[in-house]
Amino acid sequence: MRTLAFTNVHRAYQRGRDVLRGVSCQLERGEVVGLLGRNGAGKTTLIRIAMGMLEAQRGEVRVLGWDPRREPLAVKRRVGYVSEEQILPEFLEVAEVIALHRQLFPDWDEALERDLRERFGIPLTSRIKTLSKGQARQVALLCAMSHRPELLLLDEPAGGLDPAARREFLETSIQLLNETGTTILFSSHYMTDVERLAGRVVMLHDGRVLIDSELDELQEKHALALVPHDAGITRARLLAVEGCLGVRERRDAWHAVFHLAPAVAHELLRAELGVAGARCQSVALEEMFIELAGGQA
Amino acid sequence: MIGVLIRQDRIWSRYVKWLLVTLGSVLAVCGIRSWLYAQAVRAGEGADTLGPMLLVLGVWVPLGLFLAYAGTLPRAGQLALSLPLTGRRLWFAHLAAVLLACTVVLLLAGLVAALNDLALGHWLDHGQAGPFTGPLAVLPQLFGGAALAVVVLLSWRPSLHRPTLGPEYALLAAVTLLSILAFLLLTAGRPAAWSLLTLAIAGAVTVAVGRSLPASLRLSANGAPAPPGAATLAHAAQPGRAVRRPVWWLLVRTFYGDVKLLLLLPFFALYGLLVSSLVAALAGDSDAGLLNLPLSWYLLLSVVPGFVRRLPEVDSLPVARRTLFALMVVPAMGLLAAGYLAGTLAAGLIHPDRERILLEERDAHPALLVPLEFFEVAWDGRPPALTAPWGESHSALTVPLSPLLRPVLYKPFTTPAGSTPRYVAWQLRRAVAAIYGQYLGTAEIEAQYLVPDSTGGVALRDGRLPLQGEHPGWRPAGAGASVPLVLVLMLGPGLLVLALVLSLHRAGTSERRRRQIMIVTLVVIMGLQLAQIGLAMADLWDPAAATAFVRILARRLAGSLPGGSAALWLGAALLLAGPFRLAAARFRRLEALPARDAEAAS
Repeated sequence: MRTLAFTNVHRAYQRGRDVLRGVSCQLERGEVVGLLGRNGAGKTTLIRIAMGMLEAQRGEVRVLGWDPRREPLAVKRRVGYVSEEQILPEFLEVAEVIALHRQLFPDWDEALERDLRERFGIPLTSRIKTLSKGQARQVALLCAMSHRPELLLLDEPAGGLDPAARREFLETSIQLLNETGTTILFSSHYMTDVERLAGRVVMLHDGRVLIDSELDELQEKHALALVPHDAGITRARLLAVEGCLGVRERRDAWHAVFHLAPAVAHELLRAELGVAGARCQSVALEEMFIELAGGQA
Repeated sequence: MIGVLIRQDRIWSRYVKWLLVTLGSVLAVCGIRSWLYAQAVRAGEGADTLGPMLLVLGVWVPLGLFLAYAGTLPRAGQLALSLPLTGRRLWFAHLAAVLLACTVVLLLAGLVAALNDLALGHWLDHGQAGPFTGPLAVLPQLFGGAALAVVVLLSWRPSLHRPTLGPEYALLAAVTLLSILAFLLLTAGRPAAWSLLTLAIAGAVTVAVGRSLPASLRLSANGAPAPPGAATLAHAAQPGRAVRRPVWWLLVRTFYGDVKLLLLLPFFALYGLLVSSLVAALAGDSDAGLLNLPLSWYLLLSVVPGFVRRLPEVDSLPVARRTLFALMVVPAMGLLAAGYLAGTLAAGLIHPDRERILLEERDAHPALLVPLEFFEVAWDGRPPALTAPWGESHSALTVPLSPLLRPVLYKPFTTPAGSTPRYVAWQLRRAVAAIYGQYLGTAEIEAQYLVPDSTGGVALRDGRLPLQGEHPGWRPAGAGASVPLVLVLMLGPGLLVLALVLSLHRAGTSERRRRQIMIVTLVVIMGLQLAQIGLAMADLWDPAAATAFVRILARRLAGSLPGGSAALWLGAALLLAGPFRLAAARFRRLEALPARDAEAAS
């Protein structure tokens, strides 16, 4: 059974302005997947649909085999969620928030809760609204992890934290839980975090899945081709080449990303477009993100 | 500069809605004033003694809520804090913006009330002298009260850019607003110079606060991090310190910890009182409380925005939506119902020995007077002839609900001119049986209470009919029968409208559209409320007869259903269960986004 499966998911907030336009992807048990995309690409919407907080207008969503809108309690008891927003009840004390979670989750692990409390040094008597952003995020993470969820959904969990806090936060959550087989989907704008922690990346662009690939394969099977403008090639011709994912115009050359190994891309450009002077190279995740997300029409 | 600060103040963000609610409330009060005045004129009295108090109440209840809300708003945005502006300037700009908002509300309220009086042809006589008369007489007092309330509420932690809110603020707001209301009620109808007192206090408080303000406003403590320290680690190391409070209590704290939502709750109980017959009992007037039903429907809607704003805080938790729905509507419904029940009980306790049956000389014949709720309904508009066993027959007195409707109320105990003493005694016997459920023989009544007069008619032996005095244990039968039916009328339509509004919190409906539909809903509900008053003023609708109509129906239903009142309560519960389940189902599918995202999505 797949832990999380999206099949042709559509969602709009206003009629005619789709945020998600047929997203499909699956997460198997124990996978750690980084969800990438520009602001407004639909990452948060997709995660909220998985939580059952939003409804997919078309398509199907299954979390641990359940539809999160029809079986919200069964899903939420097995899923941990940390939002990019501070969404803990702000009038409660930290101890009360933890108590609330402890009573709502049957599999609450008090030893893990204590371990995380000690690790984070969370002030139990403070009200949530008086906590700093980092402290509130730590409380949210404690609440999301202490019932040892089968699926952990992290929506920009480390946004706004300093590098040390970010690393501590992600390593705690992702490594600690992934060791026990928890599936983790996290969205992030930090490519270094994704490269260090994720085994697979899913990139959303324009409401669709642009890339869904194991991180190891990403660099082997993707190439950045720099095609000089004086070769006389247009964007449309480049996009028509098989395996071309996106083209971005720079001052002296077209930057085209191919779902092909560099050597194969080079050969294809020469054979199909007659371009001999193109330079093809493997591409780092951040470069690929910029080329694809920035280069799409 | 100050103009720009006033224009960009947060007070204007939901101002139109508050303005509409206040004007609607004033219009409702104007209608009631006119109606009371018309009744007073018919009864040969000319003074509108209740008018000033009603105006004060009608304006102050929504204005007070608005002021309590205004006290929770930021005094300055973070951008303004970063500009070279003194804290005093920012605070005074916010004070000026709130005062301006209040002044506009008061001027429009005064204009509406004045137009109402002008439409009637003259000022309703409030008995004041001086430059301000009629409805304008209460405006200076209201302005003074509003100014004092604004200054006091804005003085709560004045050096912060936005006030920290909690039970202390709720207490301050409640005490301030209720104290000023009491003062306004006491001085309503008195010379306008009384407003100088509140204005002087407001001025003194303003000067004191202005002097205490720092050079620049501080960011409120809400965003400041708590210092990590030894205490923190000590707590973390204490596993035994685990809080063991029930989930429901923590959920209640999550939602009702919001002062804005908390401040709203007392008004549910107050409104329940207004729908009950308490006001009529206090004023010694006909009960027209059901006139206020439409606004109770809107009250149920008023909890939705605050609740939905908090929903993301628990939406990721395994808490059933039906639990959250119950948490949202049950306190509101319960307080409305409790207010109504308390009002009904209190009305029964006022003058418990009041005579329900009176025999008075009217147009040279003895008229048997009973409350409207003991009339009967003639659905076809033609009441049956009232024929005694010996054949004496008379027509019944009728009271139309509206000339536009066929059903009328008729008095089954009518004793018109020409009634014989025996007929009057027979009707009196029937009235006693119907109202008290007691039996008095016709002969006994004739001998004990009636005497023939010189014209061959009938008169009371001692000039009065002391039934209740002689039988203190007698209580009107079926007095509480209408309670379940009124609760259905009060809550059922409100739940249906709630279901409609909740269904808007779904994909494809923008925040803008939601607001538009909420405003349209408010206008329709206000329209229903005001239409009743307008029709009553044009003698096309009788609110007292309509209220009595509901009570008669309830009494009849309780009498005809197997199981009586218990069956009526059960039926009411079933009738409410349908709309409740419908609204709960809509709530189950509701999508709540954090505020920032909701704005972005729209």
